[in-house]
Amino acid sequence: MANVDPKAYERSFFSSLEDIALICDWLEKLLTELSISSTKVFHSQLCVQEILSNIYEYGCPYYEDNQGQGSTTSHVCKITLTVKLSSDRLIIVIVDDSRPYNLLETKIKLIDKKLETAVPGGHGIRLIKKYADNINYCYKNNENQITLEFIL
Amino acid sequence: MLMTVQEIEDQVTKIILSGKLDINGSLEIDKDFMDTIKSKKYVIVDMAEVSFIMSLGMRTLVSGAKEVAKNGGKLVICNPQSNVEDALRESSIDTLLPIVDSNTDLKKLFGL
Repeated sequence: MANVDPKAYERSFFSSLEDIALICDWLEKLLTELSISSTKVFHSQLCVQEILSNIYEYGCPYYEDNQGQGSTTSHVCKITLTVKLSSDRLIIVIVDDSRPYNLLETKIKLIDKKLETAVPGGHGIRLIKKYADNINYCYKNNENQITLEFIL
Repeated sequence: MLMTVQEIEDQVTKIILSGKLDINGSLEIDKDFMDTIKSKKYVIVDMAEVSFIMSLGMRTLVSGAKEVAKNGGKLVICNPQSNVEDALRESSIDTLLPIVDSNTDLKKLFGL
């Protein structure tokens, strides 16, 4: 990642659909106010939403499993999203306390060109890797930290 | 996310989507979309007013295309905005369901 000293904006929220909708609206409004191009707003929104979608869908049951009781009690993860902007790049950091998940180690789904056999969905990682110029992942203090960098 | 259904010709249905196929929009529309699709044969999904799509929204479109294919039909995507079209093509969705514009001869495309 580049060494930058950007302006930073931060929000913390929970992995509920309501919170995710609010934070995505906030992010879009912020990036538009910061004069980021509509295409970069689209790309960064897409990457963030794919990651939040993964956390919402797969990130939280880990804690139910750990209880070892087959509990269906839902756990809501805490997520912090930080936006940093410098003159030539946009950096978005997503920190969450869901189960460890390194998207950099996830294999990109093979493309099936036959409708009969194609399995719908599963293109999120491909799109993140396509649209983010750099991606970093680490797991520390029981939290996932994903850093997305977009060159402006 | 809004969805409007128009029967435009015998066996041809146009579904007009409007809004964002983001996490909430995709989940919001998925059931209605699939319920509408399952009895249809030839479907045009007009996406001119869709400003955002992510993989969840693409899953809905591909699931719909598979459903109409069971009826011997076809689903096409019409007039997507440039960023939306780019994301669809990056995911190779265009190899599964055609992306067309409003000038495309749909009768010919559907083999009618």
